[in-house]
Amino acid sequence: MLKNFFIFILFFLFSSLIIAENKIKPLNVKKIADGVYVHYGKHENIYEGSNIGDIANLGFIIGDESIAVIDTGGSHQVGEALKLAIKKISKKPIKYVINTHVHQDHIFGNTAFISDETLIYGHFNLKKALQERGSQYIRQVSEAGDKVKGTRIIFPHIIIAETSPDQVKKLSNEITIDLGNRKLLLTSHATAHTYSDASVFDLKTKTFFVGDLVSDERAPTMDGLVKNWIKVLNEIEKVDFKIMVPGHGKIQKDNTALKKTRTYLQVLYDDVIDALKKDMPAEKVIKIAAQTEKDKWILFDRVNPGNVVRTFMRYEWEY
Amino acid sequence: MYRYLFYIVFLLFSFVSVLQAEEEAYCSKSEECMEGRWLDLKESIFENKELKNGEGVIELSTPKRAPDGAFVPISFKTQKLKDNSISKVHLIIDMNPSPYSGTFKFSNNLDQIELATRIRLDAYSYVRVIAETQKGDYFMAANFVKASGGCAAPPLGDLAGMIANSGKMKIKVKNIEEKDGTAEAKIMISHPQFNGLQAHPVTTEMIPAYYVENIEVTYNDKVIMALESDISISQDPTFRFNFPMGNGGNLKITAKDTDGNLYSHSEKLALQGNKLKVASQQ
Repeated sequence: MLKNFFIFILFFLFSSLIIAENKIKPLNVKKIADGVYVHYGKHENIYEGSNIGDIANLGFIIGDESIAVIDTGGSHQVGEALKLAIKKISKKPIKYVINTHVHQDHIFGNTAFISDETLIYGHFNLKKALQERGSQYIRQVSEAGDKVKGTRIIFPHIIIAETSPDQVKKLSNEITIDLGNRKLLLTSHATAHTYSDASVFDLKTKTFFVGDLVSDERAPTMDGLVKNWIKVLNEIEKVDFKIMVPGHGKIQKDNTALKKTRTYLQVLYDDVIDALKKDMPAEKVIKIAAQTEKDKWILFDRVNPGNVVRTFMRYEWEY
Repeated sequence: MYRYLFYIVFLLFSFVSVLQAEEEAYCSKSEECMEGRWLDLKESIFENKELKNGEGVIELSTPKRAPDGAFVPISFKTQKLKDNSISKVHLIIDMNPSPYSGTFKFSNNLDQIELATRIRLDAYSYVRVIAETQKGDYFMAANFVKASGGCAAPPLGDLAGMIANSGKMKIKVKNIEEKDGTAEAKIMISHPQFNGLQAHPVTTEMIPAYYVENIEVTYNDKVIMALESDISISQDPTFRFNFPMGNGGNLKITAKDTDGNLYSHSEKLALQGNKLKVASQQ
């Protein structure tokens, strides 16, 4: 009798340990406008320590008939957690997933949203960008181990562009989707933060999801082209919005974060060009470029060096 | 009753050890695995030769954590040896797909060799430089560098443009204030350095390998630096190294890539006062 009791207790403890570890909790989301919700990502390094890919801002918009999700997180688990959060608020079908760009923290939750009724939208370069980086990203994810198990690359189904009927000519870089009395304007931008940046504008509340084109608090990652990114910021600065949702950091009521991002990029560019004119060795440039911006950004020392490297590589041959 | 308890504890242990085993399947996270790999490499490249500690002979500078695995700046410096000189420096990157990354040869009329370049690092790895002397001894300096993804990273730029520009070269010369009679050359070779491990963005097949295999730099027809290398040298191979300026003369680079293309470029260097300048850049 006692022996059976012992076995039962051990079995119960053991299995509840396993179940507790695997249970996914819904993400914390905040309502920022009528039918618009945002989850704030943590300012951490992706997959380091206990981080499972929750570092970017994710959002969703609820229309009369369906829901659109903007970015899905950095792992299958974050995607599932986001989906749970959405289901707590609305049972409407999630018909649209929009990835603002190629980076892991924005696309790797896509697996949680695969369904017959869901279409994934992305910049016309997004699929190409995922194909280029796919093996690198998957390697990184496999090294992160069990905690991000099930994370895979899912390509977009629909490109954010109007094309001629034969799909040969691109007619415009914008398309509109309708969630049921709720139109969203999706735009594929010119090369900026990456080669695949897209934005989402909710006409009803004038909420502008800009992906990583604008960053607040967290040091911006320059993975596209510096000067082109500044140009794109100059364009989106003119948009009449009520709320801007950057890829990282707090929501904005004006262009403050946009200007901060642009200032950083200009300083980065100026410092690298100055160093190239002086024929400074690469190691030194990486140490000193954009250091005047250091105290303004979180994770600066982890993010800035890569930005300097990529800017340096782009312009080295011109000096 | 204790029998059942034993079975359950046994199951728990086997479960936990299976988990441990899975973690060590990826060499990049296991010291044991990395050590094993180095020992294999050492044997195949150096057989039973002794690799002495490089302190006082060769020094290696690397970042602790490189922000981009495709572009990791490294440099090494050698010291003057008594009754001996360094004829070659071997570069090894343990965890790269092609670990034996390059062999540098230098002319022996420099007391101190200094060379900087950029390498690709595929995973966290030891980077090693081994100086080989005229007398046949070997001295090693090794640093652990945290960087990864250098080999799968897509080429930076437009593929067609990169291929069209292959072989274009630039020479820059700087004078080293503290070292009389020594100048520093920066040589840049435009080349995609496709390593065969990068996915083509459209076809998704691997872009075929196409990289610089051989570089030779001569000054007044005397070889001052030569390199045999392969895929671990970053896109647009660039090298900074010092050389004795003498009275000026002709600095020439020749390079050969895996397609058999031969490229060359030269610049006339002239002494102005005690400074060496590239004549065409004045």
